[in-house]
Amino acid sequence: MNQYFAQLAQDNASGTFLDSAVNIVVFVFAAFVVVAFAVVSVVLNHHWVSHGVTVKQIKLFRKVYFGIAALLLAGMSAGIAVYLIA
Amino acid sequence: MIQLHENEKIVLQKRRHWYAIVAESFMLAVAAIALATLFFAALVSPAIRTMLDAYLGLVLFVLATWLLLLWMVFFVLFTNYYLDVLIITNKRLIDIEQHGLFTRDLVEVRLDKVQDIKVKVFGVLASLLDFGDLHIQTAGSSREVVVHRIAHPQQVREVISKYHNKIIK
Repeated sequence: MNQYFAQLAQDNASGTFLDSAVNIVVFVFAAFVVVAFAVVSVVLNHHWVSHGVTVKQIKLFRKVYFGIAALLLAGMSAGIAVYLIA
Repeated sequence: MIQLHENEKIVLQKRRHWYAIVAESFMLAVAAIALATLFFAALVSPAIRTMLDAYLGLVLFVLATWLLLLWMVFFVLFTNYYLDVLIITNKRLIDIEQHGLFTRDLVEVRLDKVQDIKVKVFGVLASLLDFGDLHIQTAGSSREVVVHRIAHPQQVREVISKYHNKIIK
């Protein structure tokens, strides 16, 4: 534990503490969003399947919803990758 | 979705007017466009671009995450809109209302129990686009069924009246 705080103090002194903190916040937030997306997707899909939406419409909803979401998830991943490489 | 009785057929199925979903998602669109505009303005402006270069990845991450959250909220609103439906059969009317992700109300009224139907169209937009609130007084325990912002309320009222009259004759 002391070693951990010593490392934090060292990071703080060298100015990398803020970067580490931002990294942690970014990863925790990204994980939260991905989990929320998974939960909402499962619930929405359940509603479409169980409440009388026709098969053709369900396919259309899935294409639109998951298509755009995949683009945005790719954008998130690209953002993290660029941030970490930079 | 619903089990029809013997000799029962669906005569009309109505959702809320499309204006309802447009009005509900208006603020989402504003929030999405505002942040996207800021992002692209930052990319175009050399001064801000230099400042943001080090954090371009972070900015892209925030923008994509923000848009993903708005996209999810929009689809929840859209699903609520799509699953809210008034079904009129030749024997009864069924009002299904989806509230959020986990609450769903279903009111079923036999057409012979309908006592009074009131249509309320208020405002310029409602008059132009032909939508309004439908109040159906019943003799049942639910007393009044209210369907907000339904498309073509007069047509719905006429269909209910027609089948109500057929039943009580």
